[in-house]
Amino acid sequence: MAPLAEPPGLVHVPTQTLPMRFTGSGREYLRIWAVNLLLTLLTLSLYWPFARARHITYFHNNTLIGDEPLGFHGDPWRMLRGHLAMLLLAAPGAVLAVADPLLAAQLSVFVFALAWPALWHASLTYRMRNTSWRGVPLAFEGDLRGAYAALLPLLLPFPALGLMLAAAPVGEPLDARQWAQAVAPGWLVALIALLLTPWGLARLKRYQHGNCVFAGEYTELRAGSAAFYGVGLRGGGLLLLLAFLLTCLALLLTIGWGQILAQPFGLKPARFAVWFVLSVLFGLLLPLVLLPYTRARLHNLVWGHTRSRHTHFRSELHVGTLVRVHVGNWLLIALTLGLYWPMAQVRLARTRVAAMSLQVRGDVDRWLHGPRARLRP
Amino acid sequence: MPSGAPLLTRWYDGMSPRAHVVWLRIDGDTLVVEPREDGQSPRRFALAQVRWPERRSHGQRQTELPDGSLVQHADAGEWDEWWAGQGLEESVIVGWQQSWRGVLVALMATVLVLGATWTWGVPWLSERIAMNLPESIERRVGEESLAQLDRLFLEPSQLPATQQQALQARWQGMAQRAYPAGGAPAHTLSFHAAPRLGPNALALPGGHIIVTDELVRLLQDRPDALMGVIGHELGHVRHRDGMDMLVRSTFISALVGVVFGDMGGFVAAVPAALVTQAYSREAERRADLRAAELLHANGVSPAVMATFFERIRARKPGQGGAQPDDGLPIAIASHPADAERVRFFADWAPGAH
Repeated sequence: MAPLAEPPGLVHVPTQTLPMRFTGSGREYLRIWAVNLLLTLLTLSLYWPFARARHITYFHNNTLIGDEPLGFHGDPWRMLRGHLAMLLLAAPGAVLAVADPLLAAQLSVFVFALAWPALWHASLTYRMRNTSWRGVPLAFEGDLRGAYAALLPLLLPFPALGLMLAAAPVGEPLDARQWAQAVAPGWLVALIALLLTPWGLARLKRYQHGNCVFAGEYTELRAGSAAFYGVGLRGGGLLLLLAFLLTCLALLLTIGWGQILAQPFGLKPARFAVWFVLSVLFGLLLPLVLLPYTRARLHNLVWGHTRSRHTHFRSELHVGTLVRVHVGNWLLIALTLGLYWPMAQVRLARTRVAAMSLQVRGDVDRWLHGPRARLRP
Repeated sequence: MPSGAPLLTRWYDGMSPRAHVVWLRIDGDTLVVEPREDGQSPRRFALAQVRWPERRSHGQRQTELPDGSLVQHADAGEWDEWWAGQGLEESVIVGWQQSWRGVLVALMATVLVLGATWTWGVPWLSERIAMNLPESIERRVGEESLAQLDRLFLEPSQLPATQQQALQARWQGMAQRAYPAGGAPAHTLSFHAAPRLGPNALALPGGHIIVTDELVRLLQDRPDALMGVIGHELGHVRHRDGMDMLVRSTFISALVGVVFGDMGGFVAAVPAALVTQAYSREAERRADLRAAELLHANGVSPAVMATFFERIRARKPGQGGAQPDDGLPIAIASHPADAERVRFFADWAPGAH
C-alpha cells in the first residue's frame, strides 16, 4: 500500500491491453466436422444440435482474450427442441412451396419479415446467456421491440416486394413496354433497399453490440450511420474501379485478339467482351476482393467502436490479409472438393481474432466489487 | 496419475471474473473443489451432475459445475493425464473425433451416404411423391406456371388456324397409334408465339404442352421432327418430370444446407444447381426414348430428329432467348450433349433400349 494515497477521482488507473488470439487447429476441426457431419446425415439431421454445440464450444474455447478462453454452455438437448420446432414449421412450408409456389413466396416474404426480428432476438439472448468469459456468463439485454426497430430499415423492402407480387397483373400477355413497366417498381424497390442497407446495418450492429452485459460492464457501439455509409461508398467505388479496369482490359483484349478469344465460346467479340467482364467481375472479383474488403472494413468499424465503461475493443484487420485468406481458402476448397471447408473456417477465425485486442482500464478481477456489481440471474 | 490424486487448477465462482487457485480431486461419487487459500471450505459436487469437457488437443478445458461455477484448465496434456487416472467413462464420439483412421472411415461413409442418397434416395423419394401427389395439386401448379409463362413470354399464336388444326390432327393420330386404346397420358397441346423463347417446346406440370410458333416454322418442312419434339414433351408429362424436378430441387437444397451449414446461400446454390442439372439430363434422356418410341410406332425413323438439332444449332448462339426456370425446354442451343442425342436418335432400334 502506498503511503500517500491519491485523492479519489484522480486515481491513476493503469490501462492494459489484452491481446486476442485463436488457438484452434484446422486439422482437429476437420476431424470433429467429419464425424459430426456423418452423424447428422445418418440421424436425418436430429444430431445437428449436438454437432452445433460442439462446433461453438470448439471455437469459443479456442478464442482467448488475454489468455482466458470464452466458454459455451448451451444444452444440446434444449437446442434439439428448437431444431424439432423448426423442422415442424418447415414441413408444411415445403409442401406449400411445391403445391403453390407463388402463394408460398408471398407468404414467406411476409412471415420472414414478421418473424425474423423475433428469431434474431431469441438467438442473441440464448447465445449470450450461454457464453462466458472467466466463468461469468454474458447477457443480452436488448428487448424485442428494439429488435424490430433495429431491423426496420432492412425489412421495409420486403412488404413492398410482397405487395408487388400480389399486385402483378394476371392473365393478359404483356408487350415489351408493359413488361418494363411491370418490372420498374422492382428496380425501384431494389435501389431503395440498397440505399437503406448501410443505415439498417448500423442500426442492426448498434443493437447487437450495444446491449451486452458482462459483470456490470454494459457495452455500446459508438459508430454513427455515416461511418457505415462510408464503408458502403468505398465498396461501391472499388466496384466501379474494378469494373472500369476490367472493361479496359476486355476492350484491349478483344481489339487485339477478339476473333481468336471469342472463337472457342462461339460468341461475337463484342458479346465475348461483355461476357468476360461480367463473369470475371461477379465470379471472381466480387466474392474474392469486394466481399473481404467490405467485411474487413465492417469488422474494424464495428469492433473498433465497441466499448463499455472500462473496456474498449480494438480491431486492425488488414484488407490485404483477408483477401489473401479468402482467395487461399476458396482455391483449396475447390481443389479438395470441399474437404478444406472446415480448415478454411478455422483459418478465417484465426485471422479475424488475431486482429483484435481488448483494452481494459483497471483490474478485471475487481469488476464486481464496484457498486454496480449485480449479476442478473 | 492415480485415482483420487489432486490436480492444481483454476476455479471461477460464476459471479466474479476473478480466478481462484484450487485443488481438484475425485472422492468416490463426488468431485471436491478445495481452495488453496486457507480458511475456505471445500465444495463437493455429485459426479453425475458435472459436465466434463471433451478431450481435444487444442483449446482450454472447461468443466461446468451444477452451481454455475467453472473449472478451467489451460494445459490440455496435464488435464488428460489427470483425467485418465480417474477411471471415468469417455464418450465414444470423443475418441472417434481424435482418431485419423476413424475420421477417414467417417469421411468415406459420408461420401457413400451422400452418393446413395443422390443416386437412389432422392430419385426414389421424389418419384414416389411426384407420382402420388393429388392430381388437383399438380393441375394447380401447372395452371400457375402456365399463367406466369403466359404473362412473361407467351403471345397468341400467329399460325393460321388451318395449320394449327392440321398439326393437332396429325399429333392426335400419332399419339393414338403410339398409345393404343387411349393409353396416352392426359395432356393439352397449344401453340404460342414467343419471341423471347425462340424455337422451343415446354411441358408443364398438369400436362400442358406448349409449342412455339418459331419452332413450328423452323420445322415447317419436317412435320415428323416436330411430332418427335412433342413426343419428347409427352414423355415428360408421362413421367411427371415437372413435379419430380420441383421436389428434387427442394430435397437437394436441404441436403446441401446440412453439409455446409453456414456456407453462404450464394455458394451453396452452385452444387445444388449442378446436381439438378445432372438429374434433368437424365429426365431428357428418358423423354428422348419416349419420342423415339412414338415415332417408331408411327413408322417414322427416329433419325428425323437430327434435323431439329442441326437447325437449333445453326441458329446464332444467344438468340435462343431466356429459358424459364419452371418448364423443361427441349434443347439448349450450346448444349454439349446435343451430338450425343443426335447419335441416340440415329442409332435407335426397337428393343435396343
